[in-house]
Amino acid sequence: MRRTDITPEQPVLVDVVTEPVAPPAQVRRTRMKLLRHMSPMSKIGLVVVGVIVLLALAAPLLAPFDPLAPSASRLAGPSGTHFFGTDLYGRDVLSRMLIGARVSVMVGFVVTLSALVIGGTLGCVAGFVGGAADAVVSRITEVLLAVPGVLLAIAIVATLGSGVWNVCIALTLGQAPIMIRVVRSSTLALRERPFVRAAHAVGATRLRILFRHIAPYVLGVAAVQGTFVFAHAILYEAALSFLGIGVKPPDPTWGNMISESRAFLSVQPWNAIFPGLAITLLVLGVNFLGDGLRDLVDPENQERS
Amino acid sequence: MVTYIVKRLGSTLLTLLLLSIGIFMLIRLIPGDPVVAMLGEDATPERVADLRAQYGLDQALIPQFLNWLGNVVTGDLGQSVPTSRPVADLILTRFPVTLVLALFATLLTIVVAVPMGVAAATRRGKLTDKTVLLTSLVGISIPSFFLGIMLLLLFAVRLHWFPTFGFRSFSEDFFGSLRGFVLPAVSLGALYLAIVARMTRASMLEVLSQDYIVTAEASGLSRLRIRYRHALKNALIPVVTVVGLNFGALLGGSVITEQVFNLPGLGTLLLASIDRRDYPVIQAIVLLISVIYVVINLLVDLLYGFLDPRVRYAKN
Amino acid sequence: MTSTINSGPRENGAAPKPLLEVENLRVSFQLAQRTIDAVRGVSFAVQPGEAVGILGESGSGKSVTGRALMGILKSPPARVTADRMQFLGKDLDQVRRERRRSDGSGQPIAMIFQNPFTALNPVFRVGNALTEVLVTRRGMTAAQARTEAVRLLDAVRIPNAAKRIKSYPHEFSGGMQQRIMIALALALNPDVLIADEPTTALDVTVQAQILTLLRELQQERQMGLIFISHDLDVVSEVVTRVYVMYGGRIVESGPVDSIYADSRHPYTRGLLLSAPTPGVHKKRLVAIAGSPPEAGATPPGCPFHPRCPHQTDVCREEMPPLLPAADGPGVAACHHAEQLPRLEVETHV
Repeated sequence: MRRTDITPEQPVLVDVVTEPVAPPAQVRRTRMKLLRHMSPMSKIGLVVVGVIVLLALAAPLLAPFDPLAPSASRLAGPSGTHFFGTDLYGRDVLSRMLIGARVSVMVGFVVTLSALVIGGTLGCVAGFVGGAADAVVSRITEVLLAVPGVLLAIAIVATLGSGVWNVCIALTLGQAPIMIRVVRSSTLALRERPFVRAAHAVGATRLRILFRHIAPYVLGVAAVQGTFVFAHAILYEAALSFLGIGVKPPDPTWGNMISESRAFLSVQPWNAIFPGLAITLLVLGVNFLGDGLRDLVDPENQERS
Repeated sequence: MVTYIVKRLGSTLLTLLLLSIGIFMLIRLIPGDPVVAMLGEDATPERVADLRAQYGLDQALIPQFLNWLGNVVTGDLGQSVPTSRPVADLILTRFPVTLVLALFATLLTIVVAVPMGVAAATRRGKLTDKTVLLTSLVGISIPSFFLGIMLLLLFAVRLHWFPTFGFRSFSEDFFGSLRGFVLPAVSLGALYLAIVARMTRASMLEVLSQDYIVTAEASGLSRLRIRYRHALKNALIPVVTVVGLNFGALLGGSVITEQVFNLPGLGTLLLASIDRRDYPVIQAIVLLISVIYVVINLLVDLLYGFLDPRVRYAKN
Repeated sequence: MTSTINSGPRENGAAPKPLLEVENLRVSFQLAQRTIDAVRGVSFAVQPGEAVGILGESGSGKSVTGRALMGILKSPPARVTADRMQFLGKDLDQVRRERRRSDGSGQPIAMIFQNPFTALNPVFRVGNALTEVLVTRRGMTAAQARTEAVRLLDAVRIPNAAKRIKSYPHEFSGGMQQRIMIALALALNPDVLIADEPTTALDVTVQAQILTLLRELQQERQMGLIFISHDLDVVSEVVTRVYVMYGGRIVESGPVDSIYADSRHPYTRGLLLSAPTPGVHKKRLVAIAGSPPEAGATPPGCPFHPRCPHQTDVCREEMPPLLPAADGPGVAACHHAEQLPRLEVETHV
């Protein structure tokens, strides 16, 4: 049975995954419990993502060859020296992939953090304050979402020009609206809950209610959405680079590596396969993680036995 | 119900208006002089002045916009910069290919994904369910261009089941043309399929746990009847919404898929235009696809209201 | 566990065959980590035209009993066993199967549930829901079914039945929705109707209407009725005999009047004492200490002993058998049934 004993200081709610936990101390303790409760699948996801991130960070140290300079015969298959073979210019694919990992991971984190910050704040404000602020934010969100994701990214990159930072801006503009929506609807739902009204009735200021009572729960929902943002960011960056408007060669990114490999696909398919598998693996890991997180945060989505 | 429709229509129109303002402003966001960017550094001053006048870039902002909007609504989407051909013509020639691709992918998706989702839900926890779940996860993780290239490699290059290049128009060779759309439709639809399958499964699971299913069982109705009449009818309602909302992903993805398979659709036109700095075309395509997406969302919204009797015959 | 079938005083000659007879029903649920014994050896009977009640709280196993009778428990994880489950002397499952095969005779038992709002499929018009059952289970033609559907809605006193056939469930009030459920159950032409807390989710005034309806329908059609509830006062409006369940077992049974007049089980007595009686002023409401055990987590010995003011050592160790009272028509499962002081509780009639 769920008990909700409400005092303005400490709304104590017993079931951590079905009711928001308010004070930060309790939230911290909950986070540590998370690791124990994660499903095996999401743990695998965490490991995969972790490994790739580490590889990306250590890439300059790990890369056996110069990613930008030819180091062997062209279009060679996997071998002892070149584990993933060489590309159309004779450059080591493994080294290029390691550097490419840096781009993917960096774009992922930058876009996700930006979307969380922008989307989180705007969504919270819109949901909590309502009124004109909500109307404006919602309308802008709706307009941005009227353009399908890939198209928006293409249009913005076409306008601003290529390059990693423009890609980040374009992707953030595409993902933040979704985050705003998610956070806003979560905030709206929570605003009406009895424990928030009780806090308000006892005289807690609105800011206090926002930070201590609503935010912790919304954080969970936002985190889950964050994993999806991360996955999308990686996929979109790869797509834009593949199309030739994202990160341009010779700087390696998994997307443009696949694009460059197209001309010689029948001769050396591995040039396309390795980067493609890498993208799939990374995104799969993120999705495993996201699914697992969602099961923890939102019990309505839980698989009931 | 009627007031609801009117309100939604009004809201949609406002969104479209703001959208067109946004797209209009896009051209003005280009670093530097947009006209020079379009024509290149070595354009003659007369040509530059000409184009500026043509875009009304020498006028004030609001009359410019209204002028452009008026043109758009009457079908004049401007002229392509390099060729001076009307943009509308260009789009009209390319549009059918994109449309066929999108529809083919949608059809494939619905026909496969819905049964998949239902099968997974009714065999929950068993092998079928786990397979569907895993396949869906892979489906949303694999980049569509990578899938496309792999499909090309396997089915076209190695097995020769499908053509690699050489798109044929329908008037030339109907079935050959259709064959040429199979691999693109599959690679485009994979993501869509995964999303719809997951949604169908979730929705079906939710419905199967409802009280009215127990009532149906208590009435001694057969399992098949309960599943496919009592449960599915309810479960499909949110699925319809998801299909509509994600159609945008399909439209956007078609740009990528057209590039992979070299199909002469709006997507390849868009990318070529970006290369050529042909901004009127870019504007027009983005506007067109967005409008289609918005309209579809509106229709899906209204359809949902129609399908769910609780909304259709709401008491107040 | 002694099997006891509670029937009225025997006539000379052959005893009438009970409509429904259940002996030693056990239902357990096999979950991932443990097994839950929800029903632990329950026996009862319903005579033709008789209305009995099953009284108990959540976790007592009353709803599970009803569903086991209906045969709608999902077979893993549920395991249903019984020494006997008979309908007019024949095996209940067999009767169900025969009736199903013959396609025209409906079902021996039908059931209505607690929450009418969620128990009706929202995308089906009420008429269609009824005609579907009538066509598939009663072998009617579409035209016959349509007429019968209107007749059924009339029988459950829905005004303007012919028009409201076309309406959707959400267009009706809660009381009406419950009537529709009753109509749906009647469409199966049952000989026994199980009502699982049919009025719990409804307003008190509507409650009374539904109870009246059930009583009248039951008497008109001479149906057997099993009324499951947690509220003895509600149950007593409709039934003549009551089985009290606790912790998956029947702890007492008997005619309603004798339960009120002289209950021989501490749990029942606790229930009776704790309910406020209109018109009677009590200084303080009596409550039963503690809370009922969760399904399957019953303590050893008598399931009620942790909360019983009369418990002794034997109560903790041994399960008390269900035995007839020394001077009365009922039976009770308490080691100290005979020693309990006489208790008379005012009934409101």
